[in-house]
Amino acid sequence: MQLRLSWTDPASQRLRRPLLSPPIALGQTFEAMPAAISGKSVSRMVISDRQISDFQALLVEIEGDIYLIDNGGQTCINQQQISGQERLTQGDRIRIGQTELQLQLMDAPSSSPSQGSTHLQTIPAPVIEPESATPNRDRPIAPLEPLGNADSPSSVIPPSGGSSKHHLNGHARSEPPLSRPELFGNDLSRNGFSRNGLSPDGLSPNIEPLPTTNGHAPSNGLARPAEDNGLPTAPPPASKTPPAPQISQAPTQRPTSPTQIPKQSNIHQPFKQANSAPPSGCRRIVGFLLKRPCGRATNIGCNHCAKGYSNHAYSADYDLYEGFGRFEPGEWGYDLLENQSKT
Amino acid sequence: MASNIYPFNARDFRNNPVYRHQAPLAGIQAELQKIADFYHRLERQYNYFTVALIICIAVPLILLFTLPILRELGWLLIFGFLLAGIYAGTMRQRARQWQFPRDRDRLFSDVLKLVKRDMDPQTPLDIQLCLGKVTQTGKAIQQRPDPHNPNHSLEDWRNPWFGIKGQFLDGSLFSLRLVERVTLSHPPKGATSTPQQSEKPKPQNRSKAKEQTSVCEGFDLSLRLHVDPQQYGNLTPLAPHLSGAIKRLPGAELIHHYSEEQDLSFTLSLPPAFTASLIYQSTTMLFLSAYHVLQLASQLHQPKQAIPTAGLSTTEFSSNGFRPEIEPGDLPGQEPRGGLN
Repeated sequence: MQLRLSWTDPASQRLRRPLLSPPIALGQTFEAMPAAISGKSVSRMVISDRQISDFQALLVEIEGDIYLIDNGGQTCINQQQISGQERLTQGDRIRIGQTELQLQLMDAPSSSPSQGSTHLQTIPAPVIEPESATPNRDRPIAPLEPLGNADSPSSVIPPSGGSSKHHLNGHARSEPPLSRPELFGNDLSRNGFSRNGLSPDGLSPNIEPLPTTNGHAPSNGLARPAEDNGLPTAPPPASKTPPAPQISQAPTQRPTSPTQIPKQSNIHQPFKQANSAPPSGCRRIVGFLLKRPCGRATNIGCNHCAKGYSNHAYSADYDLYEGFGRFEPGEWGYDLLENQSKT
Repeated sequence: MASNIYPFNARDFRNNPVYRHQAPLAGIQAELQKIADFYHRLERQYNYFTVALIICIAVPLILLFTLPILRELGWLLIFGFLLAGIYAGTMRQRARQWQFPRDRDRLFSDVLKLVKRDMDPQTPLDIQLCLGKVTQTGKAIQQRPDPHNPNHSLEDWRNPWFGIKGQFLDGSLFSLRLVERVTLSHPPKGATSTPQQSEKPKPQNRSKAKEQTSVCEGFDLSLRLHVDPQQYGNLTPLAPHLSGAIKRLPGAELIHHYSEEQDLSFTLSLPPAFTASLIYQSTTMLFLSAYHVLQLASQLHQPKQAIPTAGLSTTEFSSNGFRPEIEPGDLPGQEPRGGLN
């Protein structure tokens, strides 16, 4: 998946519209941003805005969704300040400092190079973690990317070069999306995950993304025509950017209330069901002391998912016990674990 | 101590305001709503009888000025209103005895919602909610002379507010109990038996009750857990380290803690200034502390597992006995359901 971020540079007042592949770091200082995360090179975007921090935020792709992880500054999405991480959807406006960036999900990149890509201060990072370059069989199968993605001039070159590209049924496949432990390793606190001990996205690493075995590249990487699967396609949200033309406009089952169709999952859901993949279900993590997946087969009707929230439930209660579930150096329990590991 | 068993019976509850029930949470919450309605009804009655009492006092006073006109009829009306006033005053006093302890009920409901998060909705809860006064539902444990008033003696009472027993989704049995420490000051009883000898002290009569003064000395909040050893291993080695894992609000003291094999227990002493909101926060912190300990125990029990840095991963869900139940038949809007392995 590729993203197009559009914003007006505060220094030059010029419109920037780079086309990038996640992970993408946003900040003021190039060196302060990570070069690579678990073998994935990070697109580091330097924004000349004094009100943002050296490393303000990170955009990552997890299981096909884009998440913005606030790294400790003031970050707003659609005029609402966030803390921790939030899932992004098509057309979301990210405001950091005085700069507002508009997000466009560009799963099917155009053949022409991005207009703003020449201004992009993106440097492919060197391979830092060679072990991650080898294909990991434990990783979930990733959705097929459209043809020609590897040739996209603005895409970030993977550290492992061609070795990370797989081919199935003659189609190029992207690297599997990184799961949470791969992405953040032990450095979760820097990326806003440490608070409350919550899973960053509510996604289970065991949940497989959408497999495509019929040789059709999914439009937008998210959905495919409903006539392929015979399932009704939910209408796209009216407030968002119109869907790609490949998305079917077949008769749909309209919701009885606006909350019945989640913000973005109306695009995801038919495709997932059509491929008889393990249903990803509601991505909400429930429970307080014992966190667990929601377990619903569908996220339709889930107010939590419909609002696009990540897992901040009970955050006020978690605040009462800072470091719940963490055993980091200096915290209670770390010594016991260390002693155990030594013995 | 008698108990009120499902279904809720208002008449029995009047005699003994202790509600005991063992049922799934949904049933308990429905019953609690009945209790709340019962108290609201009594509150309305209290207001009505207060108005009636004022009328029954004011009207005879006015009638006194009309006696030259009404004569015998005036006296009859005055007498009738006085009788009605006595009845209204009696009923008002009766309703006043049942003033709704809103904080206690609200706190209990909040704690139920807290434990509900990690429970199977069908798992029964064993609850006890005491809504009476300390002399109705409490228990005297000690009597001593009042150092400031030689004519009075002090009695230390333990007034249970509520107790909850249940089972979390990981199979752990928990027991939460909140007890209010109350000191009653009253004139010496003379040769009557000491409260230690009588486990069920009789309610004080009205004259003594007027002389009594009760002072809340604080609260004891205790949590006990009986966990599955296959998931958490032996908890005994953690005993010397427990106090460091317990986080509490300023003013709260950890007065008791132990861990032994499958059992874990903490008791906090909360100051009397703690409101229902602070008691709820302390309860939450106690649960979090206990499960922080259990997560470490789980890690120590499974040494192959990497040290977690944040929360529980899905791998840990399964190690903790959780497995997401994904059922195609789940209806939209249905409450999430957990499942035990």
